[in-house]
Amino acid sequence: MADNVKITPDSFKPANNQDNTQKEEIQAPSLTFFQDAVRRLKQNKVAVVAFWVLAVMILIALLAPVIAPHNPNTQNVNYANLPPKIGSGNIPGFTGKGEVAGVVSDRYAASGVPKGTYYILGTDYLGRDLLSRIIYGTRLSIFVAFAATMFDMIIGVPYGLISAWRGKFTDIVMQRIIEIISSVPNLIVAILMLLIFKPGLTSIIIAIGFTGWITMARLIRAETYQLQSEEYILAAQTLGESSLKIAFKHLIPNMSSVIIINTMMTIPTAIFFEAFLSYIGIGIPAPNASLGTLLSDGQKTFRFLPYQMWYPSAVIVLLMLAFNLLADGLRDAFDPKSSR
Amino acid sequence: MTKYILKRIAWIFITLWIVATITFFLMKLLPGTPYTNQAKLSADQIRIMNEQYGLNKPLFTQYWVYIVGLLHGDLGTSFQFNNQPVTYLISNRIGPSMQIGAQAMIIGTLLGILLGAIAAVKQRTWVDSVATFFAIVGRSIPNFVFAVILQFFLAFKLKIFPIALWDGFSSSILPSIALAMAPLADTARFMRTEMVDVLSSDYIELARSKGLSSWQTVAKHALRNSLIPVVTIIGPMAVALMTGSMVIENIFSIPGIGEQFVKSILTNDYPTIMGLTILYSAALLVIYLVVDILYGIIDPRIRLSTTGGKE
Amino acid sequence: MEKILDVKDLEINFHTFAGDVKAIRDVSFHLNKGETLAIVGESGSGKSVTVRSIMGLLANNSNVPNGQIMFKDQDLLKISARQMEKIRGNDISMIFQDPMTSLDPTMPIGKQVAEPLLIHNHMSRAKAMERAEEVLELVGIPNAKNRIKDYPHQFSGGQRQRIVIAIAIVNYPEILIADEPTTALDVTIQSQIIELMKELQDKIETSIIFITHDLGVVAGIADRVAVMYAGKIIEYGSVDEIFYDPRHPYTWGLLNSMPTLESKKLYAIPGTPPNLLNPPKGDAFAPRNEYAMAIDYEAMPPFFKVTDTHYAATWLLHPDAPKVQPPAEILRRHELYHKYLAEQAKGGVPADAE
Repeated sequence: MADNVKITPDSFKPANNQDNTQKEEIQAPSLTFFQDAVRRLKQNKVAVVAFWVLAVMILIALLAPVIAPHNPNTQNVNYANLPPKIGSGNIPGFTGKGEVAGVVSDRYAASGVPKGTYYILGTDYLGRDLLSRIIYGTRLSIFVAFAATMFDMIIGVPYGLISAWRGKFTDIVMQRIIEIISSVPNLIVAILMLLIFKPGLTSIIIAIGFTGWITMARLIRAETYQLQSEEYILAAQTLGESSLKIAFKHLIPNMSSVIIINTMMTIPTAIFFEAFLSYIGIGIPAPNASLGTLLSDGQKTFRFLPYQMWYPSAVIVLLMLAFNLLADGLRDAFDPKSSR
Repeated sequence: MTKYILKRIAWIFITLWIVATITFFLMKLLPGTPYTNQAKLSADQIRIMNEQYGLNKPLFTQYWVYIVGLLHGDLGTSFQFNNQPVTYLISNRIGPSMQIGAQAMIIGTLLGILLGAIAAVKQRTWVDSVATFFAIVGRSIPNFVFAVILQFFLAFKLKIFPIALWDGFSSSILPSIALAMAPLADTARFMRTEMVDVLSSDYIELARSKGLSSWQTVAKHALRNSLIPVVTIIGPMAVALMTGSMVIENIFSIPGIGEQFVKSILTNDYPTIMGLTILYSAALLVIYLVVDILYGIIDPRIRLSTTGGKE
Repeated sequence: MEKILDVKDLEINFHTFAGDVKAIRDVSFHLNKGETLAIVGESGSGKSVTVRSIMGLLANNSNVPNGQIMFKDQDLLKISARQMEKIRGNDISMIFQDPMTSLDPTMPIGKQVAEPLLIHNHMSRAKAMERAEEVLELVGIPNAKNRIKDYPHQFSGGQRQRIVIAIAIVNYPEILIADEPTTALDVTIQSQIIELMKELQDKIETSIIFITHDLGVVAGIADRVAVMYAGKIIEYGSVDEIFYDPRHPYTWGLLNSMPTLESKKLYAIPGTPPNLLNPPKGDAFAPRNEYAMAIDYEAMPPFFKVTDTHYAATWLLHPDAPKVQPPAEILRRHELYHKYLAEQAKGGVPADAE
């Protein structure tokens, strides 16, 4: 290196190096914690794809009344169990032809469906359009999942905070309550609650929300205990800030990543719970569609009309997969140490 | 240690009493009667039946009778199923459920640990990506969907296994696999996280510096240290198996308690619902205790304290 | 003197999302048989990376584009993983920084100490345990016989570091690498560990590479010292030469920031080390160096010879460079050193220079 440098007398002139201020400057632009996490999330291709898949599914769910080709609850027994068909039936898999007693025939013609009318994913045993039911079912599942997750956040976060912040006797009692609730499998708790309430959307949301908050409360409690001994919390306490103010100004902002990650992890569980409850027949009451009721209906005729099971299955798996992948991506982004 | 265990056992009984009390009064709040699903009955018949089940007595007397019965191992009489005692119903049906649950747990934990360990050792390679993706897919397929798919392909199309018939080991395979899916995925994920953590620890580097090969390091140091925390997911896994069995047993027509529970719910059979809830709760509490004791035994750092509970 | 280890032109990069970090930039040094070489530098200067490359324990995202590490006529960078495993823990072993996390928490300590014997010497289990007990006794674990079945958490930090040392020396390695072995310990325990290492060096006749950022520790143990900055060695020499006749302004800064009995105000080197994603063109220390010259920003300084054993990479030693006045503390050390050399020349009893 040194050989190809031209050494002149000027080389040994002192470089003006007295100004020390610039030495202390940090060279890279500083990023806030959230900016940094978002940057990391964007680098995770799988999570980005999951995000866009979800965005599309949520958009379809929101626009269900506009997008759905038929009314999801209109029955037409004459058109029952029609196979999938698009347009005039030229696309393989969507021909409108089905097998009855070993003979393949055009089911649409056999049922006397007028030309030009078709059901993209076929119809169910009551002649309802499967695609529309799936769209509405997805809408309902997503809504229930989000509402239940919000509900469990609203109980779980304050519960954990209070338990840890008050400590001592309060903490013991509150933890005992958690232990008692978690001594019964949470789906059974949800089932018992559903038995008491009138069947319906609100009951399901409450039942699922009520069983989901325990994980959140435990995490928040542990996190609060940890933060409590931090200097800045002690300082705030010494300065006489109220507990409520400390909770909102210091504790919750510092726990936001835990809250976000856990919420994202709870959503697929809530989707599963809703589907499970509807599947065993105590969830969303008929005639409304939810992914669980669609799966339960589909399963009954699976061997003969598999499409009625396949399509709802594919949608629920895609939905849960996308949420799980995004949740994993968020966890990696917000908690780089834990790495998956 | 003994003192700690005794204390925990006492707490289990208290918890069970609370669970029993809450479920008892919840059941009393239920709309609908056990007779709604049966043929129309005259007022007289209902009165006779109420007397027969003791439903005409004051609420607290009913509660007292129930709790005393509970202490004697009597869970009451089913409203449905030919008025059999609930304990008889359960003892007749618990065998298949236990068998499937145990098989599922073995499949789930062993394969999950293997998958998670491989993913961690090969972290940030395609092997890891495949294993991790598989675990996430496993978590994303609802077990009842997975069960139906298995049934369709392996039993209905390929006829490798019976479709739905409880007849010995071969009929237990598909339900066990269907039930094992979620625990497998969760174990794999948990194992991977633990193992990645352990593999980056100082004592692993020290083990490598001794001249152990990477596989020796994994076998002698990493595996053991990452397996200890994995014990803790046995509790949540038991929960998943219990609830999973409800739909799986239904799909495969297995005469187990999960299927019984769903039937009882759909027919308002309170005594059976209560009995099974208490049974599930008792099983879960015992599992939690066993896990805690096990944890204390295999982790030399933990000495079970006599003062406080867990957490 | 016989060279036991010779590192030549070593370069190590780490691949990160942000780009390649050039952690080690053209480092050469050697270790003589029986001596203790201290490698000194602040965090991130590359001293730990250097020794990990000797152990073959670099992280997966590293690559070594250039260099040689010669040990017993073989290049440790070229041999297979299997051959390296035979050397690790047998010919070369390592003591780690944090005794609280370096021991397997779920394995009794006797077994952990015996493990290198079982791998390398095909010893019977019982014999290995016997040896482990002897070595634990040797490193000063009282009542070792009854404690080999105990777990790490049953020992104090200082005792755990003794156990870590026992693991490292159980096979009488030819080279012992100590990566900041005293940093995580209390000051009183620190000196005990240093004493122990000196004793062991005599007993098992090993050569030591001692990594530290603490110059005070160096004075007590090292024969020679290499100072690292930003992935390069910038000055090396005997311990006396580095302590009493340093030539590189960075070494001046390091010595100057050591508290002495006389110092009223603690000196701190201004600024922060450079980002090694894009190492600067010239002398990496130039921006923090009050003696920096124009050429320091142009070209990396080569090593200039001070004595046969003492070299420093600073343009200040170029014959054309102006004479500069080192900080007062360095001058004071200089004076002490010359007095000491003079007395030694007279044949008198060398005064303790400290």
